[in-house]
Amino acid sequence: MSDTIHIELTINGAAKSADIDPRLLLVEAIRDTFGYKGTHIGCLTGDCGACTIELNGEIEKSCLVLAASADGGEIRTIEGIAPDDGGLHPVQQAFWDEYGFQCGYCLPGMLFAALDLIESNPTPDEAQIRHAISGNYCRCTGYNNIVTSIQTAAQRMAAAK
Amino acid sequence: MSVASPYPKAVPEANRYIGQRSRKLKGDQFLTGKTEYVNDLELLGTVHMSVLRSPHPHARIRNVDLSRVRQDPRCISALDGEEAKQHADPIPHFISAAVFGGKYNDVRVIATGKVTYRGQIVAAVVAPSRGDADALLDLIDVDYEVLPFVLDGDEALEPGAPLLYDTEGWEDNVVIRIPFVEGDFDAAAAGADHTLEDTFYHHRYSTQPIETRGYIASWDPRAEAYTLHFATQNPHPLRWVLSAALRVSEAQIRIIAPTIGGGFGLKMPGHPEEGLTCVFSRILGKPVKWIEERDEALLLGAREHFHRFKVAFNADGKIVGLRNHFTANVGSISACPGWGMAFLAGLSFPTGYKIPATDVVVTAVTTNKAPWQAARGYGKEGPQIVMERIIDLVAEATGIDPAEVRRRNFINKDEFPYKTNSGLNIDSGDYHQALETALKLLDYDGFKAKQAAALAEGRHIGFGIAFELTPESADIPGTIVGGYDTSTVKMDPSGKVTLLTGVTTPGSGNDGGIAQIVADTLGVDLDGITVIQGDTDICPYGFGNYSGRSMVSGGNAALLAARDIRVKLSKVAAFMLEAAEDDLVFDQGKISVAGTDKAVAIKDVANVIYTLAFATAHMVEPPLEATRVYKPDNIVHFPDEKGRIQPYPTYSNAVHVAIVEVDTETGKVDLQRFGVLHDCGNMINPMFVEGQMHGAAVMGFGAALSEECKYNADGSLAADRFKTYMMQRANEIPMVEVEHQVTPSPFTLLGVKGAGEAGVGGAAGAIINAVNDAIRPTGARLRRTPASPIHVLAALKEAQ
Amino acid sequence: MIKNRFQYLAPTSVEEAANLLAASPGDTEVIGGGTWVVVEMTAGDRDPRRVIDLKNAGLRYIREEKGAVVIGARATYTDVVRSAAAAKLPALVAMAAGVTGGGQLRNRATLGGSACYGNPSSDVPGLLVGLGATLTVRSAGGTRSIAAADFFTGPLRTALQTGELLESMTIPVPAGMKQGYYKFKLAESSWPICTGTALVGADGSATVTIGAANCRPVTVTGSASDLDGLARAAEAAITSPFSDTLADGEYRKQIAGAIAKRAVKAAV
Ligand SMILES: Cc1cc2nc3c(=O)[nH]c(=O)nc-3n(C[C@@H](O)[C@@H](O)[C@H](O)COP(=O)(O)OP(=O)(O)OC[C@H]3O[C@@H](n4cnc5c(N)ncnc54)[C@H](O)[C@@H]3O)c2cc1C
Ligand code: FES
Ligand code: FES
Repeated sequence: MSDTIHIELTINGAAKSADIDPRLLLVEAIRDTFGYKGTHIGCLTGDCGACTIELNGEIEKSCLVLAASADGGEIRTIEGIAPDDGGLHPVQQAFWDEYGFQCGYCLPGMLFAALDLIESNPTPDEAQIRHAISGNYCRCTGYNNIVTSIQTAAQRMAAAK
Repeated sequence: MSVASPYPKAVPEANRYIGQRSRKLKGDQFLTGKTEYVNDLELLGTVHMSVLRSPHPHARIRNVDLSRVRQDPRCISALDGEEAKQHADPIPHFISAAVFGGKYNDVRVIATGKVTYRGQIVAAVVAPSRGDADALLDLIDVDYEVLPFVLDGDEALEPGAPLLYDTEGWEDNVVIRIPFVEGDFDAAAAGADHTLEDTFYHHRYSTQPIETRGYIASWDPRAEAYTLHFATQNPHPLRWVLSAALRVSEAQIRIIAPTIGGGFGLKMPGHPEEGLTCVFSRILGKPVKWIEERDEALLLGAREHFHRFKVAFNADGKIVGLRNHFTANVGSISACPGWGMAFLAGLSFPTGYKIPATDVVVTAVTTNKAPWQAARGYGKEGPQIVMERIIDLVAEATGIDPAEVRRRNFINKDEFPYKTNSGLNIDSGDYHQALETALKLLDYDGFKAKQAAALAEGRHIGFGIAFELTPESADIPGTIVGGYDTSTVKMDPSGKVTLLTGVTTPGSGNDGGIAQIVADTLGVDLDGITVIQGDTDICPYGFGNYSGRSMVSGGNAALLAARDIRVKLSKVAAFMLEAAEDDLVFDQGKISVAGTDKAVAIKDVANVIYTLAFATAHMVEPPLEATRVYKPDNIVHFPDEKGRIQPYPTYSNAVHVAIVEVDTETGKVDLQRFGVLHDCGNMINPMFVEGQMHGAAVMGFGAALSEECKYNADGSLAADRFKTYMMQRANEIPMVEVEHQVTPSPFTLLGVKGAGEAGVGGAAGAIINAVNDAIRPTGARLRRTPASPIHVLAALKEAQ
Repeated sequence: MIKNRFQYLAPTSVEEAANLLAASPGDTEVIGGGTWVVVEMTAGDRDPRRVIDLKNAGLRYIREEKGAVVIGARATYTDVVRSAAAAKLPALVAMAAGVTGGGQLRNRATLGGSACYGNPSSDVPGLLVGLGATLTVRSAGGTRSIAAADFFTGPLRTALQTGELLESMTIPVPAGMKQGYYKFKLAESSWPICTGTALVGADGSATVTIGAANCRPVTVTGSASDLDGLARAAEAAITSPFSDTLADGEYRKQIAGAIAKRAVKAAV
């Protein structure tokens, strides 16, 4: 039994590779092997959504995936949401303007769920927004301002088109 | 909204930050994943701790055998309770029941002798990775003598119940019994038109921030000092706790709390893992890290009360007497402040109602459940739920509208400050107006017709009201729970402001709110202010975060400190501008002379103070630094003639309203609308206040509907993950519709009251009342929380 | 981090997977989407020496074949929701869309994994039984078919034998019948507590399969015009009610009748 396993990934556009312990969860590899600490751990049971990333274009909870299983994958983390010019993505901007977070721990799940929703449905209503973020827990905001933030983001993005 | 002007010449209204919905400080850092939480820190050479927890709820530890684990090459260090005793003394209790005449028991970083709950730490190991440390636990052999156990609070009080502690003074399982008795209840009952008796069970639930606890302890053998990166709400008090337990001076401990992913009480001090990481670090001379797992976080519960009450009232709905003798099952004894919630539950009766005779007695009883830890609401949520049930029961019995019963029993707005039966001195409020506004929010007047129409279709909808009184910003005498706090304001020679404060933020945004106060006082730009919190070596002494206190204590202290800076700036600017100090206006980075175009930049004045101390700035003392404490008025610790103390400066209040539909076939409750009128006095940042209320209310929804620390009959925690401890998700709840009323506190400088705890009990109370309103036509009555489908259906079946 | 070491294998065909499994079935875990098995490994509840990840085994498909929809064991709930073939089975789509945990979960979790896990308190078992599915399982020796009603043998138990893995699920498109799916949960975070899958014929004949309430899914027949009769039959059919931390069997039995009615209403 070899002790490590070689994986190659792209994270936020950068090619990464490492010989990892097969015991590593993807969230642990992203955080500890590759240093993207913006992806959080809240439960390790797939319930909270704080570990959300985008893997091969789909949003996923990275605590449910073995790092080895993501070999060859293309990953985007919360650090990869903002445009390269140093500004914020309209979804991030709306979360700031509308006070869509308090402690910020749930943001990976909330931001990725919002992006995923707006991509497929540029004009979501409240119920659709609530459904889209239902895989994430937020213990601080009661979801009120998260819903408002996503509404605002969608409106601004539609207006900018 | 009017904000009492906190300084001589206020910043022009249009440019003020106070009262504005300013955005969260450093929001972009959070949104781009750059914020560092404790688990994100990488200290060179870090090793990882894992703890072995007792599989028995009650057992004597005969022997802990670490020989197998020590032989494993992955094991860097391992300790059992007896060994840990060599390195650490008992953990001082954050709030000791003994201070109030109750019982005490030593709590250590690792149990010795006995375990009293399933999950108590019996040994610990350190390994290169957390995975290895977890694996090593399988190699520890513990020999237990299993003892009979008790999980139920009432059973634990019965003679012959298993005794948890065999140390001195523990002749039974009562931790403390506290009476809050005023007036003659029996006489009141005898003279009243009616009495009614009922029970209410308020279940065990807990905090569960999405970030669990986490500690990285590093002992520097050369400096002989600890640096502790701990996710804690209370760095300075924790330093005191640890210095006593670890036999070092407070000066040998520096605690740096990084950004915290939510606290809600969980991250208050007293946890064994805090000291344990330190012990290992001292042994190894390396950073030792421990991150709590979710099933560990779920062990720590709060609130489990069984209320047995009797109410005396007249036909007009006026309540004349209340008797409520209730038990609080506080679980095992811990050094954390959890048990104190039972005390405050008793103290807070009868909330905002004038009841002449009250006989409230709380009995805190220890059982073989895991301990309580402080939880948002801190005991006040129990009385809120139960008092509001009582009001509705009186309404039902008298046939008077429940809103009207509230009107008839509320303290009137002209009666404040109002001294309650338990000795609280409620500062201010207008409860009647609050009620009217809240009722309008969800069209109470139109609801009856809708309810009748729904019922005709076989649908059960209900409206619930709950008034909520939230004593905030506590100072508990004889404990490290302080009601005052300290802030330092510094302006450097380039005119930039740094604000350091003893209060901490678990995410609530108080850093921004306090900065708003300073920005206005100094007339500077909010974005130019740097806020530093949570570092015991840098920040002034303070108590951190609990009890809705940040603005009341830290905010007002910052106001005072900023004023001191302003006085110096003002003197020098007056000299530079050749104007009278009274004519100066501080605004947008400039000091100008009112009515003229003469002005000087604040940064230039600052520079003059540092560089021309013997010339232009000769009349002031450099540097531009001030540290001030704010002790709010209204706290009285000298007992009154009846022996009562008054530990809270401010009392915010709220009226919650909820509309639910109950599916009578399954018992499921659908929360359809929810509104709240909140009055926490002047608001520095209404957006932050609303955010607190949104979050607290939804915690209340969880308390009312789905969250439950269920135990198995064998004493293990059944709800040990989020699949079984069910918090509310976005798609099952409506918007929390918040409206404000502003009744400034007469007892704090800025007229602010505490905000942050209000919401949990009020929201839960409104929902429980709404459920009862909905099922009333069936004859059923729900006498417990949560109103989960199972309990609601059971109530419905019982009525059939 | 998972506490004990294991070997990670990602075979590139189902045959290879079956052979690898045959080599050492006792200490091997199969990963579909992993939403159960990875969580249990992280928690230390499962401690395999080898892990076979089916991600490259060619089992992620949904296709129409001879009046039936064939679902590869690795197809996710999202795949079902997006599939043109699956659209023929509205009850299946409703079930898949209603799985909780957000898009993140539906993008990863597989129907095959849920079937193999066999937790009564879940969506897939009742649905497969209710739609009369057949499961194709593979071992090193070849494949065999098992009717869904025979596949789920009890709580966390299935007819899968040691060394066998699930290859696909075949669901016949019920010609001329309306389909309905209804799920009851205690809260959004809850497991399914009682589910109903209904098939209603043009003549009003109704078949309802109750999932999650009994240790094995149970099926009752009756008429859509006599919902109360169906409800009583459903309740009576719960002979070994399933209990877990969230809900005991007695509660599940109490609501089974109401859920049966709602499933029929969802179909009509
Ligand atoms: C947040 C969350 C929400 C959820 N919500 C729901 C819900 O609403 N309804 C519901 O029913 N479930 C729900 N689940 C459970 C969910 O995990 C399963 O429904 C899921 O479909 C399991 O599929 P998987 O591919 O991830 O399983 P895996 O974890 O990959 O596998 C599960 C079991 O099956 C075995 N296995 C997998 N594939 C095969 C195969 N082809 N052959 C042989 N054995 C195999 C594995 O060894 C394992 O024992 C939820 C889970 C989470 C984490
Ligand atoms: S840590 Fe992955 S969902 Fe909570
Ligand atoms: S902002 Fe704290 S968990 Fe969402």
